[in-house]
Amino acid sequence: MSTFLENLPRTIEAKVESRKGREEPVLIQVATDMAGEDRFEQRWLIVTAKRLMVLDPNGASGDEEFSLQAVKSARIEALVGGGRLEVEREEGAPTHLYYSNSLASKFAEVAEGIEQLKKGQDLNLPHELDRTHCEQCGRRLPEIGGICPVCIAKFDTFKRLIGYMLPYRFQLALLLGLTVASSLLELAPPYIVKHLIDDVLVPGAAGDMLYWLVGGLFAIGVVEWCVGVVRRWLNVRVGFRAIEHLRTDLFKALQYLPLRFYDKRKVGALISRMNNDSEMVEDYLLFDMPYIVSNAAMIVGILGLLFYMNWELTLYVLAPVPPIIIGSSLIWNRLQRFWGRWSARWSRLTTHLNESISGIRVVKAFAQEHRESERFDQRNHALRQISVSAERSWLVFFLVTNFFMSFGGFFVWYFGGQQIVGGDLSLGELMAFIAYLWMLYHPLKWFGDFYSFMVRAFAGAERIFEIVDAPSEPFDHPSAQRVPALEGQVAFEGAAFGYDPGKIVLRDLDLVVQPGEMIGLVGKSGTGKSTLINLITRFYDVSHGRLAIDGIDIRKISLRDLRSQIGMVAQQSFLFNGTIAENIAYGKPGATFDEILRAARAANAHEFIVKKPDGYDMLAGEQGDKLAGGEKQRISIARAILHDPRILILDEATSSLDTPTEKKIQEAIQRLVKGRTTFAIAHRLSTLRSADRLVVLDGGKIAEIGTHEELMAREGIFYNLVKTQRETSAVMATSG
Amino acid sequence: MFFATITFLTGLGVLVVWLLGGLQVLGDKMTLGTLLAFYSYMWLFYGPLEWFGQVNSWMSRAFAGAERIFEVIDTQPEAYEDPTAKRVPRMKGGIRFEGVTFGYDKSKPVLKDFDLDIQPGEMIGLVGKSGVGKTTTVNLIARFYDIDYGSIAIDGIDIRKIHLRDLRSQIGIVLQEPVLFSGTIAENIGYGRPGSSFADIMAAARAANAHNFIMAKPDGYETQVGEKGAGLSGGERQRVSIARAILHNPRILILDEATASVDVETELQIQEAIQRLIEGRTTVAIAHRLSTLRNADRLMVLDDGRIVEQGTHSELMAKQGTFYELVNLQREVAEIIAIRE
Repeated sequence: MSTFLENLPRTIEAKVESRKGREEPVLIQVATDMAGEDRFEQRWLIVTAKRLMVLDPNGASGDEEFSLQAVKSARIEALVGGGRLEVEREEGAPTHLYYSNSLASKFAEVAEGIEQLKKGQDLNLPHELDRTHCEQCGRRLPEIGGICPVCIAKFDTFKRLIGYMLPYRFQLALLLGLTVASSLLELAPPYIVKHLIDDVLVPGAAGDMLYWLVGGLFAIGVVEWCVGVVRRWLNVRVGFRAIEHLRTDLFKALQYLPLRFYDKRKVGALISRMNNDSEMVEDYLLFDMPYIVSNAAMIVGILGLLFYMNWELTLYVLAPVPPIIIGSSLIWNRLQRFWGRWSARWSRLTTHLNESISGIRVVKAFAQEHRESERFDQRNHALRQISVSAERSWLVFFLVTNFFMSFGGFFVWYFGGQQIVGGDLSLGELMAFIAYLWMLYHPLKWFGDFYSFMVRAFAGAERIFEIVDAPSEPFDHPSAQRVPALEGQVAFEGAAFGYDPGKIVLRDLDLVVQPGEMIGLVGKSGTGKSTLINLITRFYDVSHGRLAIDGIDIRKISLRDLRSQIGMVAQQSFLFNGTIAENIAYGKPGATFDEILRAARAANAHEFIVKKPDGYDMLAGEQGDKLAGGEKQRISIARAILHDPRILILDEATSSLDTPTEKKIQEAIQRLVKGRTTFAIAHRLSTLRSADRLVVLDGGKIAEIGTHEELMAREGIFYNLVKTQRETSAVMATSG
Repeated sequence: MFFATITFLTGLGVLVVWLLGGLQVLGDKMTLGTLLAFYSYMWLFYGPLEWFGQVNSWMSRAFAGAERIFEVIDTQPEAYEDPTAKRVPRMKGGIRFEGVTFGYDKSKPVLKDFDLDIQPGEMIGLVGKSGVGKTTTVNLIARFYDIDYGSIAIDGIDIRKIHLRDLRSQIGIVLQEPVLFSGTIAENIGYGRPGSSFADIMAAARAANAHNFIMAKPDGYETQVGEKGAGLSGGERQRVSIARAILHNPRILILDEATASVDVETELQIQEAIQRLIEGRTTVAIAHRLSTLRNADRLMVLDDGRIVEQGTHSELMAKQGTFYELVNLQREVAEIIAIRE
């Protein structure tokens, strides 16, 4: 079922049927949650191939209907706490549909859909929106677009986890065989003990058998020990390897995911997936999974033996089992919900941790350590509460189960005793029976326990798989066009883009940049300068229109080829842990020292690097020594020089530097831009003088294009910006 | 391996009981019932024994974890609750550095024998190349670090003797890269003064030229901002952080490249906001664009961990020293850029 065909209530369904023609498929049917700006009521919007209806489930008063051809435009408008869909018609007042913010993204798509239909195009809407509630059970999800802890596909997840062990199928088969063997071996001792009691330890029996039977017990013990050692060793080997692969897959997925994925997620929550979720899966694979097999073998073996020995007594033994099974299934859902909430609270805790540590300077500057601690306390407290609730449910279940199980023991002693007195049962048999009984209850109990572990582990595994499965950037798409050597021509053709559907940031973008040209991007904050650059690097894809490089649609170019020919120098240069030389060679692993040296010279970095005690081997980055901002910037320019890109992006590359450093960096940048297509963003308009053309963005559109002089002569937006900048200095001078 | 061996050894014990006990039963020295009871007790006994075998490895894991936690907990915290610290609920804002020597690494001092005297309400601009110690100076005023030699005094009281909460709650910092926390815009503005009324928050936002853009957002002051202030542009985040500083109402204000990364129009608005913010406060500003420091009462030119020049903008220009050279250099840079035209 598509997201835009929601289930209709009866009344509405009848109305729709009566109004629409026979051969007229319904294309969109969605509910809003408001009727007017402040009334929470349901309204239905139905769009067929021919008409558009707004229906009121409570009566006919609010119903509206008109032909699709009469629609002039459909668009959404954001209001406080919600928004409205405006459908304008050729004549008559526009129709408004109000909704709260939770439905905003849905109606953004609906507006788009109506526009498509009006233009006679096919309806083309995304299949999925960010989910906040589970589609199957309607429960609120612990995180947006996350996993419903109740509805996880247990079997599929299990199969996938097994898949991680399959490369070791020989070892896995051996492991299974040994596990079954050791379970069966464990069944032997009570039977031998029965013989001891019944046939050996009776007054006047021959004592020889005692040595044989005890010797037998010894032999079994030795074999069990050997099997146990091999089994554990195999288990650990296979289990750890599987988890290693899973973790690698997760990290790789995180690296290849598009930036869009990170827009809405918090770093702490992602790190918690890496830590907690993979640890739970690890425990499951190492400690729980092998027990499934051994305990299952145990239960089947013991039940067989018990029935063989005395079926009547066995039925008494099994009496407590049905209530235990019923109890388990009852508590099961409850526990599952608890664990879902538990992991959501964990990720909230980690998010807070992450944020308060990365913002520690601000926390300290405002002396808010106390409050941060308090907020952490609250989250910690919430985590504790849910843990305790979950454990409490579990404990009650555990105690009740134990109680019922001990009943089994009483039954056996009571009825078994009667049978012995009556001569129907030997003492040895009774003893063996009791031994098997405890061996049986143990795995049964464990299955209950195991269930809760399994739920946690599977929820963790699903969260991991969710990331692993999220569509990654198409790095090695087979149909992608290889472009090993770009010329560097960049052309936007009627391109439009918004991070969220319905909130367009750039529109009607037409711009052709010739190879080797330097373009300066100018405009207020929020006009889309960085967004335009994000499109060139293909961090995001255009929503409409086309972006072509050397005449090829950017979506068809091999992403690896594209990115390897784009270089970026940003305002805040990021250095990784490692030496300066390693950092310079980041974009070109395996660069010779000579190349690194040349790049550093060209970036005016060589001089200061050799002055450092360790020279090029000095450690930089988070754990390294401090480098000044200008020094870091020059290293990142050297990195870009060595990377040798065809298209260069300068994002405020010199804004946070002092003057002498800036001069050096400007020189370095002059060398860097030579012969490359360059896009530069700078707030100081003077630093863009060397650009061949300036592009002025305003309100998400290109407002002016031209050289510095042309734009000044035009006395438009750019002229005003320059004037404002002069005034700023003047404002400051008055008090000086 | 260890676990399997323990199981094996306890199994051996069972064998001994059966063998020796069995012989005794056969020799009529013990009843079968006693042997069976013995046998049961033995299992009860081995259970805890096995547990003790395993508890060792759990314990060492848990203790190792606990130790790492305690290591962080035991690290000398900042002295917030020092009872001997002097309460200074209302400072005037005079700052005095005397012979201060400090380095993040003691063997590499960043500031050397550094002297600086700032009057209450004065605005000081710190100027110099990267790495000369401008940011270090402001870090020391906020007592993010303690100095190695010399003294820093506020209103004549050694900074190490002032109650840290009093000190920090009267210092406001506006950084180049504003840090916002997850929460609404209103919560972020009220960060430094929890429990502020909405009217106060709005007044602060107005003074920071932030009110208009906030109201243009669909959720207004209730707009959620993310970890890195997602959803707000750089200039918007900066204005939120200025509003936060205004509401915090500090006596001493530190501007660390507050306007470096915003565009012209926004900068004008931010400059206005900053003008309102610095009024009547002691202000220490760092900016690379020398022109943005024109309204400072005095400029301090730092070089190699010392103040090499100080004075007003025009005094320093007239002196034709380091500052003059810096200004000229900045002009030259503009010329280099212009050559291509």
